[in-house]
Amino acid sequence: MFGQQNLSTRRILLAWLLVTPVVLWRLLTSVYPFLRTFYISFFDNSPVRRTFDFVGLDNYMALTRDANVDATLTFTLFFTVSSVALQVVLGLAIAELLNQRFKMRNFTRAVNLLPWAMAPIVIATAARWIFHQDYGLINDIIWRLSGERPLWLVNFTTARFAVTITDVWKNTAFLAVIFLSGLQGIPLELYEAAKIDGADGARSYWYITLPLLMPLIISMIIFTAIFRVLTFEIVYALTNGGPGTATSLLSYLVYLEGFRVLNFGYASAIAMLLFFIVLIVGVLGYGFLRRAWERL
Amino acid sequence: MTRKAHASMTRPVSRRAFLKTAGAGAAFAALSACAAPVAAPAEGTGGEEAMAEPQELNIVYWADSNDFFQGVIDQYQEETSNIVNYEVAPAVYIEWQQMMTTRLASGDTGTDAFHSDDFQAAIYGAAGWLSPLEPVVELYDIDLDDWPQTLIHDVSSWDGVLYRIPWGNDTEIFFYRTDYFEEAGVSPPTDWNELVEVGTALTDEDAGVYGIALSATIGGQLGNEIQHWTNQGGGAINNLDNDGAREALAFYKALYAEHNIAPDSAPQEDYSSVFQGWLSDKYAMWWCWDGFFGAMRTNEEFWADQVSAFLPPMGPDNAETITGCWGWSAVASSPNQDLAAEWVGFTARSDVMKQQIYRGRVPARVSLWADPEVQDLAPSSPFLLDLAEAGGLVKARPVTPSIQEIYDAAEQNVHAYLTDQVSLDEAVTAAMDKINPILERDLG
Amino acid sequence: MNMQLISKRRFQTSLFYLAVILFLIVVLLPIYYIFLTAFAPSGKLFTVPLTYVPRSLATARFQDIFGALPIARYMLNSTLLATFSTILALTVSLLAAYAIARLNFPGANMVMIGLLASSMLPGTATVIPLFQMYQTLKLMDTLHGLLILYGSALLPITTWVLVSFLRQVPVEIEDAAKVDGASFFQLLWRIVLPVIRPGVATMFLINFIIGWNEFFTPLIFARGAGVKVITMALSEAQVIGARSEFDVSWGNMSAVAILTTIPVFIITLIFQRQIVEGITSGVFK
Repeated sequence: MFGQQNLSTRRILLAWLLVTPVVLWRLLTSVYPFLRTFYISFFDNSPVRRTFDFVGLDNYMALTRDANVDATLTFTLFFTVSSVALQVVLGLAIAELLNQRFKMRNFTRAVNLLPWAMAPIVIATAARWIFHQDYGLINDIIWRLSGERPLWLVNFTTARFAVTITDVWKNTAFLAVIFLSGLQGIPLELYEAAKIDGADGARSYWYITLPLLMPLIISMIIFTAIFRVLTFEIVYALTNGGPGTATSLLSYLVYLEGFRVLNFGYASAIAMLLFFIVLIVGVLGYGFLRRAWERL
Repeated sequence: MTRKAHASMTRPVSRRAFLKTAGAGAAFAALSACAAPVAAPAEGTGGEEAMAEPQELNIVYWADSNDFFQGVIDQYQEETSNIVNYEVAPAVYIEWQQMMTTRLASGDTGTDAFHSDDFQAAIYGAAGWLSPLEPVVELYDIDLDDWPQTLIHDVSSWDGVLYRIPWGNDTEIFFYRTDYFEEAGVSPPTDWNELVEVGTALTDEDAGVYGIALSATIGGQLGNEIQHWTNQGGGAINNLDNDGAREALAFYKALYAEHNIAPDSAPQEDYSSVFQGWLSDKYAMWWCWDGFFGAMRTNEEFWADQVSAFLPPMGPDNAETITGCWGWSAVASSPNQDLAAEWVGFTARSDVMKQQIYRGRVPARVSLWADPEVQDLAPSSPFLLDLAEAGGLVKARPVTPSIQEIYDAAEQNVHAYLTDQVSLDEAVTAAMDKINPILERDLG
Repeated sequence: MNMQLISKRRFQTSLFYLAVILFLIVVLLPIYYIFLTAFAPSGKLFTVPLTYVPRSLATARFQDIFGALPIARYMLNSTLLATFSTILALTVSLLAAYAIARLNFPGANMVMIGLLASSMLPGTATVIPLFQMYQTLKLMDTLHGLLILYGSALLPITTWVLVSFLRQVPVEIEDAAKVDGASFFQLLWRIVLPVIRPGVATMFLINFIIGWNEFFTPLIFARGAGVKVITMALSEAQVIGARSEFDVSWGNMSAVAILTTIPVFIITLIFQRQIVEGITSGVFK
């Protein structure tokens, strides 16, 4: 262990000196602006109307009456649940696939990373084209198979799935890589023992692999869920939050209110709501994670 | 193209005249009511010699990028020996608007003048981000009577102050395929009932041909559709809670949902996808900005003998259509007020403005509309003359400083109605709940 | 019996390869489609049904875009921002990570948790005050202003990962160097850095990719002509060569998408292993 007598003032000073740049940088660019957002959320602040008037809880009251916020919360829930569920299931499957020995395994593993490496805005912009009813890739395939051309972005249910599919396509690779690494960490002896006991592949997956991966899966669910709530580019470039407001997300709403029509006060209140949701997801998730660890 | 020919029409500004105008421009700006910062007129730079130094003008131009605009810039550079830094704007209107909003809100000093639309003139003008242009009008002796008056007073000014000089006129007219009409044995409809009848006769879903194109995607285009249809019913985009507006919205939805004379994809169609559809023989009619005519005229796939236009049919309340424009505004925070003023004055000249016909657009000055060359290259100009002659048929959109918020609220809710998420009543109520307080703030 | 077993295994193997092929198609087809769109001649864009075999490789579009937009400048800005934000973030994160992993000081855990918590403050929850701060401090539309924001976003994860790398390295070598009387920075530079070089390299790659792909921050903070980045050209390219706003060129957009994507693809394909290690080390250790 590192020395007991080393808790000297000099060492502590040096330590704080070393962490200061990072801490200060984050304080100035993240923590302070966040507190300031909280402050602004009590004002009617618009550079267009040239206002900075204290309005108490008015912005928060307006939140409760705003139908857009309702629609946005509904879709946030839909998007988070569907996207996280798909990403986890597909991520596990892809990890299993990439964990096998086969020709072109390295190539396949590299390909897996490509969507992760692409800029979200590029994928979202391309998706608008790919989901196009007449000239898009997806409808071309569906049309060849079934003769139908679904109106992805007109029907609000399919539009929601279009956003989810795009997100899953881009981000599953990340989970797959982590799950793969988790799979590689499971000792092979466990499987051999199970084989002797007569368990087949599916059984050993269910009774050995999944339980061992569970803490990892849960922490990834929390992590992924938080980032779903924060998603911006896909909605910005693919659907504009439509049809109607069926695919609106909170980050997009903050952007609209804040930077399209410059209602800084109201946008700040929405941003606080967003933070509150992230907090809930984080705290709930942390609870689950602890329980999962305890059970292990 | 005969761009070179127009160079002879230009009148070069002498250096002395320019000195005078630049100084006077600054003086006028200083006298004007607005608190816009005004650059000192070349103080302490030693007069004549300093003026010989080329100055740099920074402009942003929306939305197309082609040789025509480079021609305008070249001409300006030649005449003034100034240098123009010309920036291509993002094509998506909303992104373009947000870009300029962000710049101007942070006191941009890198943009002197930009190509602004109706919304921007009102929003930025009211915010104090644009220079009042009355001094420019006076300085360059611009005869504003030559412009459609609604463009000057209703969409380029706010609170009686002029923030933009209209450059290109945009009016919505009804385009149609003459060959399809002939084949079906129908003539242009004169009211809404006829529109449905004619549309039904023209539609052949199996062949992928529809009576009418609708571009109901959110982001500004549905807003225009809402405005022109509800206006004919006696409502407006900021006044939807009345029978006329409701009837118009229900009629609009029925066009594709009930009569099937427009494709089901209407709520997702935008100008470019309809344009593409039009080029692939998909549509027989479209109520759209006349710039579309020019876009076809300058496109190789234009078929001059197959496309024409008519004046919008009569609605329950009136037969009006909507009008607007793009024009040039000067940025209040720019350090080059005199240069910006000079650019705005330059573009307001007939000979400069006329060059927009090379992108198929009708210049904003009415006196140019009868010009044979304009009529040839910007083929909607005869229709604009017809509209002007008929009188009272064009109406600007109800632009107030919060127009973008009003458009957003109306679009989101009406779009939800168009895509079967809410009823018409719910949509109208939700939209007006949001719009009424905004409107009160703007007008009250 | 034996035959049955063999055929069963064969069936399983072909099922497995089917899954692999399906996976490759799902990932690669959309990417291929973007390439196809970028190189298709304008007239061939709108065909029903689609043609999946390129008829020709039209590069005119790239020439148009490079001619009309300062693409080289955009790419340079993206490169500068991604590179320097990464270097800055790595430098200060390494200092902090060393303190946290080695100096065992009171508050180390608090700093770690604080960093993690601050990374959950969404960018959208801080953007408005930052915008106002940047206006006052005249940092709007400046590369150094952007650098501060780009770097800030990288700090929490980078620090965490470097701490985990440091904790895997035995401290004995450092102690030996200390006995030899090496100064602190000598120690850091000569002893610590070489040992955790793989970790630093990994984070360099990942952070570079994140910086290169950034869109929201420049969308708000980089609106001036001189500081725009490559991701913003997607929308600007639409109108190049257009005669009106009715002409939206998906081909142009795809061309920019390719220009944006190729650098990160090259990095990813070459350094696949390092990237994977970086992604996983943040989670496991």
